[in-house]
Amino acid sequence: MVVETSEAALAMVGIALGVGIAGFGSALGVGIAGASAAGAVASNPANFSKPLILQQLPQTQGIYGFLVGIFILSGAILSGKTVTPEMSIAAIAAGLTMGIAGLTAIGQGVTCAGGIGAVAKNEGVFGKVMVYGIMAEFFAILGFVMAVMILLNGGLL
Amino acid sequence: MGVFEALVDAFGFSGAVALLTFVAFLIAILVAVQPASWLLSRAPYIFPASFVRGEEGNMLSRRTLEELTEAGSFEGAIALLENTSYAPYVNLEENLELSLKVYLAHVNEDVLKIAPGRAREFLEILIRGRWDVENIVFILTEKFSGQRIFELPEDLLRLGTLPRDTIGSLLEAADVEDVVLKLEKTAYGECLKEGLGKWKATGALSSLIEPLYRYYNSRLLEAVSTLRGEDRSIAKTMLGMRIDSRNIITLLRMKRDGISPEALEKYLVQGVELYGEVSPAVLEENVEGILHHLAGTSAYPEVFFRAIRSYEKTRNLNDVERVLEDEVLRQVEEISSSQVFNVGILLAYLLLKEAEINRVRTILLALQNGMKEDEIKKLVMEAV
Repeated sequence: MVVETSEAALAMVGIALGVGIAGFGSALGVGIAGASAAGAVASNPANFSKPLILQQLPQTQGIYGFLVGIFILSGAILSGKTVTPEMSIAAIAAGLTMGIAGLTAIGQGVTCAGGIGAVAKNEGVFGKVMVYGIMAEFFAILGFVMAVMILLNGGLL
Repeated sequence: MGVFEALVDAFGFSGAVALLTFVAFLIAILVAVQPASWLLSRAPYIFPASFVRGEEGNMLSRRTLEELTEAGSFEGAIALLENTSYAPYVNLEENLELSLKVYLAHVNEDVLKIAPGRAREFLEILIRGRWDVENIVFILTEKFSGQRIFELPEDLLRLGTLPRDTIGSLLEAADVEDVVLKLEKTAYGECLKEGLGKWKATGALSSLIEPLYRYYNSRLLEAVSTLRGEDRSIAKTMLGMRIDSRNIITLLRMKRDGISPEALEKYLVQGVELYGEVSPAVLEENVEGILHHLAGTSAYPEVFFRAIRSYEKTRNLNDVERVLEDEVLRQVEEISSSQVFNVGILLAYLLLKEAEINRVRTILLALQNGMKEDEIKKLVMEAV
C-alpha cells in the first residue's frame, strides 16, 4: 500500500511538470506578446484585434500541458488502477516532455511580439506573420504527441 | 570500481541517478542562461518597438508626398494633410516653421517617454542636447536676421536643458554676440567662444553654429559608450554614419569658404569612421578632389560618385548634402527593418521622422513661395 501511494505521488509529479512548466512557458510567451500588443494599441487604438490574435498563439502550449496533466490524472489516479513504478516513470517522462516542449511558447511569444510590431506598421502582413508565429507551434505539437505516446506505452491511456 | 562509481563517491552523491540528475540540471542551466539573458535584456524594448512600428505605419507614404508636391497651392497641401498626424500642426494661421518644430518636439518627447532604462539615458542626451542646440540656433538666426522674438513655445523649451531664465535672457539679447556672451557659463559657452572670433571676422553665422553641432555630436558619441552590447554597436553605426555625413558637408562648406586646412580640422567630429580618411593632404584638395578621395576609400564609392556628378552639374553643395543624407536615411531604414528589440528601432524612427517632417516643411514652404511642381519634386522626391 505504501508503495502504491508513493507511485501515485510520483505520477502526480508528472502532472506538475507538464502543467507547471508548459504553463510557465505560455505565461511568458503571452506576456511578451502582450507587451508588444500594448505598444501597438498605444500607438493606434485601432491596432487591437489582429495583435490580440497573435498574442493568443503562445497559449496553446499551456493547454497541451493541461491536457497531458488530465490524461495522467485520469490514467493513474482517477481510474482506480494500481500504479506500477513503470507507470509513474512514464507519467514523469510524459509530463517532462510536454513541459519542456511547452517552453517553445517563449520563442513563439518573441516571434509574435515582433509580428505585432510588423502588423502595427502594415496590417497587410498579418497572414504572413501568423505563419511565422505558428512555426514554433510545430515543436510543441511534437512534444504533445510524444507525451501521449509515452502515456499509451506506459499503460496510462 | 569504474569511473562513474568513483565520481559518485568523490562528489558524495547518494547514487548514479542523483549524479545524472545533477549533471542534467547543470546542462539545462547552462543552455538556458544565454536565451534567458537575451530575453531579460531585450524585454524592455518589446513595448517601445511595437509602439514605434505603429508610428512608422502612420508616416507619409511616397504617394502622399507626391500628391503634396502636386497640390498646386499651400491651401491644397494643407487640405491633403488633414487626415494625417500633421493635421494639428499645420494650418493657415500658424507659423509653419515653429509648428513643425513643435511637432518634431512631440515626436521626440513620445520616444523619450517609452524608451527603457539605459536607452533612455542615452536618448536624453540625444534629444535634450539637440533641442538646446536647436533653440540656441533658432535664437542666433533670428538675432542675425534682426527679427525680434518674444518667446519660444513651451513644447520646445521643455525638451531642452537650458533653464527658462537663460532662454528668456537670450531672447532679450541685443545681438548675436550678446547671445554668445549670455551663454558663457553654460555647457555651450566654451564652443561658442571658439567661434566668436571667426564670427567677428567674417560675419558668417556658420562659424557659431558649426562648433555647436560639433560639440553636440561629440557628446553623442560619448553617450553611445554608455550603451551595452548590440545597442551600442547599432547606435554607433547609425550615429556614426550621420556624423560622417555631417563631417563631410562641414568640410566641403569650409573648404569652399576658403578656410585653411589647419583650421578645418577643428570643425570635424573625431571618433567616427571617415575621420581617419581625412588626412592633411586631403584637406589641401578642392571639393571634387576630396569627394574623389572619399570615393576611393569609402565602402560606398557609388554614393560619392553620385555626389560628384550632382556637384559637377549644379556646383551646389546642398545637392551633395542631399545625396549623402539620403544615403544615410536609406541605410538607417535598412538596418531598422532587420532589427527587432533594440535602441536602433527608436533611433531610426527619430531620424526618419525628422527627415519626413523636413520634407513636408520644404514642400509647404515651396508652395507658399509659389514654386512650380517640377521644382518642388526636384527638391524632395529624389530623396524619398
